[in-house]
Amino acid sequence: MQNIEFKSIYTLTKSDIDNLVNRFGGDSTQYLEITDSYKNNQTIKKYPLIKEIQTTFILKNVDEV
Amino acid sequence: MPRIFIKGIKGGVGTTTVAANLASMLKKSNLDVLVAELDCKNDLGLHFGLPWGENSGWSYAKNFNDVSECAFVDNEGIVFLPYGENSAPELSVSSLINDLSAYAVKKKAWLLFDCPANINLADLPLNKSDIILDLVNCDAICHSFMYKKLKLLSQVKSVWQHYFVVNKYNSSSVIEFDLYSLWQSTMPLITPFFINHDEVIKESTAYKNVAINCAPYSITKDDFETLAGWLVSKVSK
Amino acid sequence: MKYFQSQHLSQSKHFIYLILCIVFTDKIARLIRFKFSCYFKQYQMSALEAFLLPFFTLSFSLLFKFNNQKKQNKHFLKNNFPHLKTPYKRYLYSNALRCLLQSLFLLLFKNTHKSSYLKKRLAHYFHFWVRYLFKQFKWIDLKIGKFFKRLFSKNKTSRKNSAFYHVAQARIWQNKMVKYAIFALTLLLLAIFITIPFSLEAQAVFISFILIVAYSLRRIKGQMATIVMITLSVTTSTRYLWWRYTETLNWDDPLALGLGIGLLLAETYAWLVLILGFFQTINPLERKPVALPENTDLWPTVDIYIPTYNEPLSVVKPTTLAAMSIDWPQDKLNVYILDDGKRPEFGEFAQQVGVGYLTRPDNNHAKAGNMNSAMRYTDGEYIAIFDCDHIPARSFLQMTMGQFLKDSKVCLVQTPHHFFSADPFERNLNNHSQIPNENMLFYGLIQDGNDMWDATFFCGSCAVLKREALESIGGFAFETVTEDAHTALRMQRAGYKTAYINIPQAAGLATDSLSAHVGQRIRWARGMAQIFRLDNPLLGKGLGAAQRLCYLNAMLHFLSGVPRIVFLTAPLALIFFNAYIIYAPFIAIFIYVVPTLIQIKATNSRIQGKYRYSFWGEVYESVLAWYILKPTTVALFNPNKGKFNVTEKGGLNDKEHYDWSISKPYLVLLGINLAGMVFGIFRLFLSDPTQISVLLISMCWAAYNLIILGAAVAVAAEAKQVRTSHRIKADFSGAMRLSNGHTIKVQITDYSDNGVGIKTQHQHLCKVNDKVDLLMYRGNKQFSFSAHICNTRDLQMGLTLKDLSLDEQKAFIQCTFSRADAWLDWQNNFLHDRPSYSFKEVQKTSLRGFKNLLFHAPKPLQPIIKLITSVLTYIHSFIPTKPKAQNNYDQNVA
Repeated sequence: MQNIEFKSIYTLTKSDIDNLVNRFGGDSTQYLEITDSYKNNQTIKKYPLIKEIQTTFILKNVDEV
Repeated sequence: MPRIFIKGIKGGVGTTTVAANLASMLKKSNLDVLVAELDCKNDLGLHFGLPWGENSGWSYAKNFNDVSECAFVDNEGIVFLPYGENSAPELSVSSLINDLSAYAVKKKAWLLFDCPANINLADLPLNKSDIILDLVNCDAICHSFMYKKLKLLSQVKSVWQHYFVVNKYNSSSVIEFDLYSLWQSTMPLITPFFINHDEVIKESTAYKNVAINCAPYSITKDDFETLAGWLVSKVSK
Repeated sequence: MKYFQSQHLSQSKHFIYLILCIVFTDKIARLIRFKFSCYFKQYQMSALEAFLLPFFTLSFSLLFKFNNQKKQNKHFLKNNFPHLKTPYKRYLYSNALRCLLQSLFLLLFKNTHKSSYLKKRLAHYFHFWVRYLFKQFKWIDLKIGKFFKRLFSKNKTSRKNSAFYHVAQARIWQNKMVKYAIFALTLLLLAIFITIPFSLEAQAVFISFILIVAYSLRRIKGQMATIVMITLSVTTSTRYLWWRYTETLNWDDPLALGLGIGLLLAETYAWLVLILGFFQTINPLERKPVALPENTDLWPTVDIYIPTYNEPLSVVKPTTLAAMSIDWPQDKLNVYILDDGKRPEFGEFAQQVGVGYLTRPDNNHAKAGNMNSAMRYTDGEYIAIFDCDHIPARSFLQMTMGQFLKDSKVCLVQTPHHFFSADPFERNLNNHSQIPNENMLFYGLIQDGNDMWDATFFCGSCAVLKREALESIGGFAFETVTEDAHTALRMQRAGYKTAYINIPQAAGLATDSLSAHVGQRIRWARGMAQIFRLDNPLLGKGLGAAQRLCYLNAMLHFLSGVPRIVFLTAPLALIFFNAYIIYAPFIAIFIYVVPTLIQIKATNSRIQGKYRYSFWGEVYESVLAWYILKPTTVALFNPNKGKFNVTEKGGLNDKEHYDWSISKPYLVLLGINLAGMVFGIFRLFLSDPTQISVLLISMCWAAYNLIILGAAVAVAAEAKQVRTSHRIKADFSGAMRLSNGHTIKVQITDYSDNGVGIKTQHQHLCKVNDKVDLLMYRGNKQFSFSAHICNTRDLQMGLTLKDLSLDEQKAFIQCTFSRADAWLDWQNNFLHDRPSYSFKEVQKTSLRGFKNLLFHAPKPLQPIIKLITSVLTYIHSFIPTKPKAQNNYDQNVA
């Protein structure tokens, strides 16, 4: 496999967290990008189709497991 | 040699465009690329500047030798194989895939397949190093399809690597922003990047070119670079 | 007589003409007459001018050849007499005097081509030899450097501070007896070495040896060399002090004795601060953040307090929005605005946004009381505190909380205070981001050094505290005006540990005027003095020896008022009163004082070089000296007097003015020193030769003081603040989607509250007033902002974002101010200190200060100043100047 000059594995633009851990050591995988679960719940509530899929899928999955 | 299957979760999400631009980006990084069109739409050639009247494709071929005669090379050096206009091909898709794979191994080339949305992946000769890019747009229909696909995948016990890739993303749109936020944190198998919506994608085909050549200073080019880089890292693991 | 019509001559003219004919030849006389009538009638000159001018031209023609070409004449005049005032004819008489002086100058001092050739050759030889010598020096320098490098690089380990750890953790220290024995032995050796009296020659040799070692060490990086430099500095400075105490006090003269002791005490203070400083900063800990466990269920709950009193909502809003977006599980994070101003709009904002809003019935004990009251209504396990203008980065908690989980005895994690606006020094001296600002030394170096000895103290903001620890000491301490340092002291006494993470994770506004800045320092000084009186860190239990020393050093720093004033006035004792405050011959002073100062400056420059440039410390101290004098003395005697004056943030200076009230002390000191210099010059000529050398040293010292004071004076000239919202430099990528659907990749170069500056890679076709979508990222999330282009220039563009919804404002802050890497470059933008360059900067600033003084002089004084300056400039215009560039004409002359 030839050597390719790609800047990083996941995204081209280094995120600010990458810059931080590069400077001070550590692993960027140890940093947790917090999910905005409030906003997610708002989205699910806002769109009925999404809400339906969510509830059905979770129910179905619970059944299957 | 890596095999990437690019399909859409439904029609019209931008499969062929992504395949063409990805091929171009890989070629720019000095990798040999061979793009094969498994979609009977037969529009791959138009992305590579194939003359409109050119009808040949592998759907007319009876064996692999014939296939190699209907492959074209664009001026960047990408080898592409259009479907052709024959609605009843003699070659089976599986055998085509196997033959092309053998050929690609010899040439040390990346093999990209432009697949239709309704292709049945279970019928294809896939192994665990194959990557399926399932393209989606940020809307509720795709959301529904994604969950259906997740159900399917858990039942089928897939042997391939399956990823959802968001295409034509416009963060200014409220529904797209909301859905993508939801997907980023809760949707399994989704890639950590997306391809932005850019007018140049529509325009590039009119210019008989790929978007990354038409707008080298756009973020579209960045997006495809990211996609290519991500694929390279996945493949080398 | 044939050529002139004699009937046009008047009687007087005829008479003059006759006289002329006696002196000059007929031809010349006629020429003069002709010229006279020419000038008189055509050029309309006065009779006298018209009469004198021909003589001038005639006398010139004796010395210089004239051409008929007018242009060449003009050039000739311009080049050789460049200081004549134009138009020539208006200032005829003064110009004539100038011409005369300049001609004499040209005659007596060779400025012609030939001699410049000689000069060129001399210069060439000179340069050649200088270069040759320089090369030899460099070779010697290199050899010495290599020798020392080999000496110190024997153990090359990857840890930067390995030398210190290597020594500190050697097994030999395990045995207590050995430890004490070695300590005592070192002290004994040191005592012997310091007190042994050297003859002057021995001292000279000794000091030059030390200077050579110091010079060769300057290229060697690494801690071992720093430790060697520190040892050398300690030795030389202690020797110097011993010498001063034993040999330089004049017991016969009571005045000199008194003044001398004063100076000596000031020098002892400086020595003490120096030694303690070395101890404090010998090994900055540079603590690294600790990762948190993957399972967020194990993460503790955190309350964020944002205390505010009278700051406007526009300042508190970004802080609140940023605090809400810190990357921490939502259910474990609570933000509270603690509003002592009880303003309804804050309550509304809090409700709108979804944060807590706490008030209390009274305002006792200011901020500490506010936070104590809030503790009653909140229950997070940890409390993070941000001043209302300190905007936290989103990674703040994940960078700091790990320390608590790793060691349960840790009660405080402090991060640096970083300012995105210029403090009064930087703004008024216009050197923002060229010279490290005043608080960079503390947060960049000193706190890190404190951390090594577990003596970090709480600075009131940008920190996280453990609630349990606070409760065990009864809440935030409120007996002093620096309740933050006192709280940390109490917690340390109770056995808790403190930590400092030297990564800026929040940034705020600096004080916006010099008076506000001085007010803030007065409060800190008073508070520190109060702590020393009420809860002395040197006494009482719970603190280790190293911690006590660190607190002592912090206290001493605020006592610098009296010593600084002593240093600023000491040379005058000798000049005015002829009091030998340093009772030693000139040569001894020169050999003891100057090299010690150089050595100390070199060591300090090495240790502090990235955080403070040489000589600027003196400027900062001079600015504050007078003002912290009184509060500290008052507080030391009576700690309970004095009130808490809040530092105002976010004000606007709408016009440029000079702060006379605040610069009074510097002006007085400046005046005294200036008088001293003048007096000294007089004495130079009048007094006996034996005293001249000492007088010269004193005058040099006074001149140095003048420069420092000039810089201090310069700071008081308040520059105009144009913007209300501060613009911060940045360098991260984003994108733009134009109204035609095309995207462009851009680099964000700066941002403010409601605007962004961007730069494209390639020419763009955007125009002002175009509507675009700005795309920015927070981590991997993309946000879109509706914006207008407000200006474009080449590849740069300015965008304004107006009428953002609350969600959009929050997102904007997340993408800009609150980025995890927003302030990472704070230390890296500065080159390492170079003392000579730094001194030049101080000199430039000082000159600027003097100019400002004259420019801003109060109304009644202005006419006098104008008169003096105009007289001086007028006199200056007569001084002969060197002629301008060579031209062909001069060759002919030579």
